[in-house]
Amino acid sequence: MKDKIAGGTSVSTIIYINNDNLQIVNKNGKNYQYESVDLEEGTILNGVITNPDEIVNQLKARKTKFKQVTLVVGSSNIQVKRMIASKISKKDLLGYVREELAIDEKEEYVYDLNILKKENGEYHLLGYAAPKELVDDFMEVFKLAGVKIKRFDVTINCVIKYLRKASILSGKTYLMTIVSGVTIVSLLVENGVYKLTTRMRMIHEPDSKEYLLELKKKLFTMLERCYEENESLKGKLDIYYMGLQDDQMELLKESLQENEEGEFIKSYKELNRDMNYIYPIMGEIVHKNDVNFCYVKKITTKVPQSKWAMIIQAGIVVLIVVPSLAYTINLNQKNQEMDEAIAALEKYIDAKEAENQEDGGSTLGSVEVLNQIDQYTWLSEKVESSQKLSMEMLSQIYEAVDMQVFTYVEQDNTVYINGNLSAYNDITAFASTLRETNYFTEQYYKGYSIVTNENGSVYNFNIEGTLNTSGSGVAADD
Amino acid sequence: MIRTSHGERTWIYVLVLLGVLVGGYEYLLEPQLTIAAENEAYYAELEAEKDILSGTGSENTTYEEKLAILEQMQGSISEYLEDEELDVMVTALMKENGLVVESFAINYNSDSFIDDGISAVEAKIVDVTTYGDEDEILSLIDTLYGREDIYISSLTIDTSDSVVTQYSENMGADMEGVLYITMAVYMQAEVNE
Repeated sequence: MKDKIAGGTSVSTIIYINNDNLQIVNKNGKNYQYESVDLEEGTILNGVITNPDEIVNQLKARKTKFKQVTLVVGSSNIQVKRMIASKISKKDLLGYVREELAIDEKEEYVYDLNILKKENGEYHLLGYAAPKELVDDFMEVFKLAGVKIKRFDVTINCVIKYLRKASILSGKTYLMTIVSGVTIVSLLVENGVYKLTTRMRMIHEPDSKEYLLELKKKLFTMLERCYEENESLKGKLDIYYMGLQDDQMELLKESLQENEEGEFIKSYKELNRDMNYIYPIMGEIVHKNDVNFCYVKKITTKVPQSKWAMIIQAGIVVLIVVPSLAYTINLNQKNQEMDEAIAALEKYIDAKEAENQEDGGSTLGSVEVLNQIDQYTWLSEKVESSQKLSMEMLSQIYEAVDMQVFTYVEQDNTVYINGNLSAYNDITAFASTLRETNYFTEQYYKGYSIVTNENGSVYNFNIEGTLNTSGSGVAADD
Repeated sequence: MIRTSHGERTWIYVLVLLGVLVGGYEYLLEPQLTIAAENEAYYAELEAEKDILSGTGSENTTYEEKLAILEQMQGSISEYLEDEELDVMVTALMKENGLVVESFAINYNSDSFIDDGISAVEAKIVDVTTYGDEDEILSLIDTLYGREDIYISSLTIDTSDSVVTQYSENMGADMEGVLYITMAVYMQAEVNE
């Protein structure tokens, strides 16, 4: 970040804040000025400000040296993910980052990204999400101190930019471990492409004898994670350290040789830099589209879906809902037209009815007249169809037999004949004759019994028949 | 703020779309379709009525001609008969055929006998027991069959020796048999003013 101060010299100031101190690097041309300001214990915990007054006071005491700065902050609360976005416009990238990070936002987050490169229409980028409160707190504290933040970067982004820029590491596969006080950050880079980060905190102080042992354990933990990510990396990884003192590096190498890992261990440092200030040094590098959380406007970024998904969804709505709606509206219009047509017809009919009734002297309308004609026609047909008994048949039966009881049920088309005949043969002869007449479609001869009365004995018989309603019955010869 | 995955959003989208479609059909389209169907049926009815009124279509007789036909038909049955008037009419029919009426009962007095809601005519059901000669009984049946307003639903002619003896001895009647008949007598429907 360039800033013109009195005297016309171009300077840039980068401030890195960790749990223990403020690291301030002023770059004036090719000259670097380093300053470390110890903070009261607990001023910052994992990037979260708990004692803002301490920071404000420290900044105020030095603000004559700078007016606007690049702030570099590290916190495990700031999430990072490497991603490749294809078929998406640049303006939608931030929304894409938000989608990909898929944070369950119980608190509000600020999203940002760093475009590493664009290749074959695909964006290779790093997406970041920082708790808005964390960002706001830093902005507020610096504002209170009268220091303007021009850029607000995060440590991991600075490291990745730095490693990409380092020509000696270009295209290589390695594990870079950056030691800064009690904070250790390890990055796995495969063929020059950043893969993952592990952030750990040392328990022991750098000058303690347990420090080396802990450092060794941490390395194995990191290696384990790398191998989980890609098993083929076993034995192929170069291991770099930044920020370790030379003697610590040697001791680490020696202790690791026993584990056959020592030969891979290398120290990475630049000759003209103080590697104790590695993060503010890294924070000097700025990409064209780089992370800058101080632009709070990025907070309210829309969450775009995939462009095609939106087009398809909108298409479905257009294809289904719109025609349905149009059809409904059209139907409604037709119904209204039909209502009008019905009203016109009703009016015509009422007028015609009134005219007819006046002319015909009847109170009945035409339709009622027609309806009543239908009723009388129905009645006539009903009565006629019920007249199923043939008078000819009745006369014939009563002449031939001494009838006792004759019963007719219209609903069943059934007649029951109970009569007397003096001779047995006469019964069967009568039954046969009756059957030949076709008065019945079904005829059942039920039998006889001999009955004795004052005239002597007679044969009392029963016949049941179903009337032939087709009218094809004929009179018997006898 | 509730975060949802892409899959969840797709389901929400599908469900919302489904809701819009079902709701749209239920509350917008379906009522319109019902109205359209009702309107169509009613319009066809009115069209038919219009054809009748204007003497076109299948009903090509004029209003006056229809009235004349109706009046002729009405003449085939009696005007509405009160119950006692019905008794007089039926008893007269029996007497005209030489029969003696032993009993007369109106056992069902309702126009619901006609089950299709027609209201221009109605029926009363009567049970009659009458006696006389065999010829007179057969003659009565023939007479009833000649009428357009009587529907015989059942009859029994009992000319058994026991019945003849019973009627002769107990009632001193000179007869050959008894006729039990159930019939519906149709008449013009009662006009409710």
